[in-house]
Amino acid sequence: MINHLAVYLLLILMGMQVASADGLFYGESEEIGDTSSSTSSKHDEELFLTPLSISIVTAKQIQQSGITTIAEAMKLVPGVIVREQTNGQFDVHIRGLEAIVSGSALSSLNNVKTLIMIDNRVVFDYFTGGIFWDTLPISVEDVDRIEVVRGAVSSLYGANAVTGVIHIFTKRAGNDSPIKTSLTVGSKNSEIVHASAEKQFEVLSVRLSAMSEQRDRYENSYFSFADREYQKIDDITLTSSNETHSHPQKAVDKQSMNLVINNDPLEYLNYDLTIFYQESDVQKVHINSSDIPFTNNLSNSQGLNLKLNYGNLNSRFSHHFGKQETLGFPDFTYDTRISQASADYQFRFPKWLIQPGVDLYSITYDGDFIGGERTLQETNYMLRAEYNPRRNWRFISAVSYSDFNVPEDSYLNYQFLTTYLLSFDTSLRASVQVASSSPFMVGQYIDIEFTFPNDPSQRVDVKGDRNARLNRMTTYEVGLRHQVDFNNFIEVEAFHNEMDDFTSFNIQAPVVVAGQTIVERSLKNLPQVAIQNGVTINWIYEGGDWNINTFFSWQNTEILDQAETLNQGSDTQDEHHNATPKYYGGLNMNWKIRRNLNLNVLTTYLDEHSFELQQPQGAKAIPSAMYTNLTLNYQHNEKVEGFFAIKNLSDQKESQHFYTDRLEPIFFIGVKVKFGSD
Amino acid sequence: MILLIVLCTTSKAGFAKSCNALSVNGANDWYPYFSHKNPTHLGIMGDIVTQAADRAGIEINIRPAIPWKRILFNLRNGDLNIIAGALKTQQRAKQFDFSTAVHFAELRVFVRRNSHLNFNQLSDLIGKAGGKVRGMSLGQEADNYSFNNLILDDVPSPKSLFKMIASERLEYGIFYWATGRQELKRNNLSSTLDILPVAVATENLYMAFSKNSRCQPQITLLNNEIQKMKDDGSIELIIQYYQAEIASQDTEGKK
Repeated sequence: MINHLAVYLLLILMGMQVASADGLFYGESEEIGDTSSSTSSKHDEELFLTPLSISIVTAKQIQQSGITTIAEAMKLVPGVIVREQTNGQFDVHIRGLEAIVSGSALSSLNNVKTLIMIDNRVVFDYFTGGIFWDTLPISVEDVDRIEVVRGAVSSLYGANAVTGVIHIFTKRAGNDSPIKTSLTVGSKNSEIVHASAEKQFEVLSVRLSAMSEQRDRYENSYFSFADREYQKIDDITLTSSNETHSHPQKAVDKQSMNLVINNDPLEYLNYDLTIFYQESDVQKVHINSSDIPFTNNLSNSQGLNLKLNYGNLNSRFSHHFGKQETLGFPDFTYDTRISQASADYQFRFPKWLIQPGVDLYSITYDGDFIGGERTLQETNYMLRAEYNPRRNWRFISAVSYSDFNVPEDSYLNYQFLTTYLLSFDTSLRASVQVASSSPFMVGQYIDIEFTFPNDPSQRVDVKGDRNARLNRMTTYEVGLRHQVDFNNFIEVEAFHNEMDDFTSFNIQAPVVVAGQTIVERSLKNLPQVAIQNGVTINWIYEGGDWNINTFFSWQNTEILDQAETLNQGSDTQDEHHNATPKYYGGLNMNWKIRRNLNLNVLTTYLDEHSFELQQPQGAKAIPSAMYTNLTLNYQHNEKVEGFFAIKNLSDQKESQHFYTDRLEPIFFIGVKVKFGSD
Repeated sequence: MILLIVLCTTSKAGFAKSCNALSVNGANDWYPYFSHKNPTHLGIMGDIVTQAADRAGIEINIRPAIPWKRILFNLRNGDLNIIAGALKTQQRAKQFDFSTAVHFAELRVFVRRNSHLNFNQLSDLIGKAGGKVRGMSLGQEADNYSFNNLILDDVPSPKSLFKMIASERLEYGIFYWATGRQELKRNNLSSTLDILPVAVATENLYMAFSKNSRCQPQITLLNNEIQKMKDDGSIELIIQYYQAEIASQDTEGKK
């Protein structure tokens, strides 16, 4: 039975209507590249002139393409690889670079190198690093836009913005209908309910939203690493966990709620307060299970994010806390408390903009795997400067000094950028950027002796290293943007990435103590260096009834000094990296059939690639595949609209990840109803 | 991908209907330059086109209000023949033909009502935090001066510009006088902001013509008639009518 969400809207509000002019009178935003973005430079600027590789996904694009999760929306972004693990669970990588260290754990497939933020609040997870998409306290209905920066940007956003930043901006109360509801149902018992209530008062605005999401997996079975085939859970002998999900078919069960109170952001003193809560129960690739790819994660968190701006002074404070539990792995149950504070100021002069800033992070985890409560602290001192020697030429430099308590070390991240307006419709840019990751709880603090519950003669001792050097990446980029005409916009970016200071839990020779075989795995820095070269081409056509966006990336990654095994003292050799597809891209096509009827075709392509993990997980070859989603949106009137989407159309029935569920076509049908006067 | 690019960049008005009337549109609610509200008074630029068409014996068809981007798209493809009132940017000059300049828009300084800022020349703005709408040009000379000497932020929209002045985040803003006046009314800021009397610069206004229209002979005829209207003072009369309208509205407002 599908659970139903009981959403009680607390505010019955009156709508307001303010006449708004077409903002295109003056020629300032009639071109595609004139879209506003703020993540690339920490202040608002037009996309055409941004110094970094950046893409923007809007709420309208999300709606048109029938996308139902935020991670899935990354399919619309050039240079991003999205793999679906199961219904509603996605793994997202900017330019790939996954599983660099051959023979690593299953968790090495997770992206630990991209920073994700909601309204400037970092929502990164510091267990082993990475993005827990399932724990985001928002749904796609709360998203206003998502800005994705590709490249190493720790100099702006601190540690972990190594391959880029995914910055989600959420909706604020507007002039639209005060109450909106959305119900989406689909195959695999999928049900997503969202409701929001909003009101603009004279001096402040309020928006309250809540959502509930349930989905079943594509498979009823799991891939057994021991038997190398999909089997019912009852037929799989579990060795590394002592418990599995009571409903193995359940993929996602999630609820969240948000309350946003803000005044006009154009006021001299403006504030924006978000209070949020979420709880989720999902299956995903997380802990390094030696039996099946999925673990079952239960999570809850709550907190607040307060932005306070006074003129050119911007400040922010957030605090959130919660609990993470991985079913069957009691050692990896932990409580979290994360506090963040930041401030920056913009000094403006003719030709110059100077932005000093500081960020503070206090990250506390409390769990058996780290022997109780541990805290990671990070302080970033940032100085960013823009100088325009000529009207068409800009230099930007940003330097960030990151100081950590563990390791007792500091890291200097920087970026040097230039943009040049070759002509009114063509811009060029070049950049050098260096970024680093942060320490993580498992890497720095883990200290456990894990006896296999179903085989007490086997024990693995896992030891972290507080002084391990942090993963770093240098990005070199050149880019071109050309506004061909009002309807066509092309951008090309060529990049060269160098990544080093990888870590892995190296395997020591086993010892036998009191009849128990003990293998020690301790964190070590590795000699591997990943060298990646690539090009991404993005073309946008915006016509009267047709919008087409097609993007394509080519990349080649070589690993220098790849260790043959994770055993201590293993030989090394240079080798080609196969885990990131050489070619990947997508086509997002929109056809406005009638004024109220819209057809969207979203096709994504991943070239063949393969993962090579430690035993018993082994290797997995993923054939090249193209997946297509078709979505039909229908607007009945101003208050009622709906959509029908069929997804994962392909000639393949294959897992996109490491022996996760084999994808199959799935359909969704949704309706949105607005209440109250506009 | 290449095929799609070729298809989308080479779309032409090959299937345009035969030319029975010149289709005309303009920016939505751009008073006093163009407005759909009164079918007999379409604003300065709208009335110029209407009168020129009457004089030349050309039938015109005023199209309903649609988003500006769609208007540009239609003009580019030949589905629309004329935009009554547009600034001439480099991108637009690449795509469209333009008439001679038939009117101009004044750029003025907008300040808070209690501001002590006096503006007679650009150097009066040195050291003050100002703003303009992103992408808006002040003209070559003023652009160069402001780049070298002024703190002039780009903001995304006129509404943002005026609200930032009202909230003291900016000490002044530069914008088109007539449309700025309308924006102030629309945002209930008429009693909060003042428009200073000296113009920073002027921007010419043009009729934009489709290069892909099947009605090129009629467009040429109309363009010639507009030139004649400029020469014989007819355009000036239309402008004076709207100036009187605005003055009377201001008087009404003060009452």
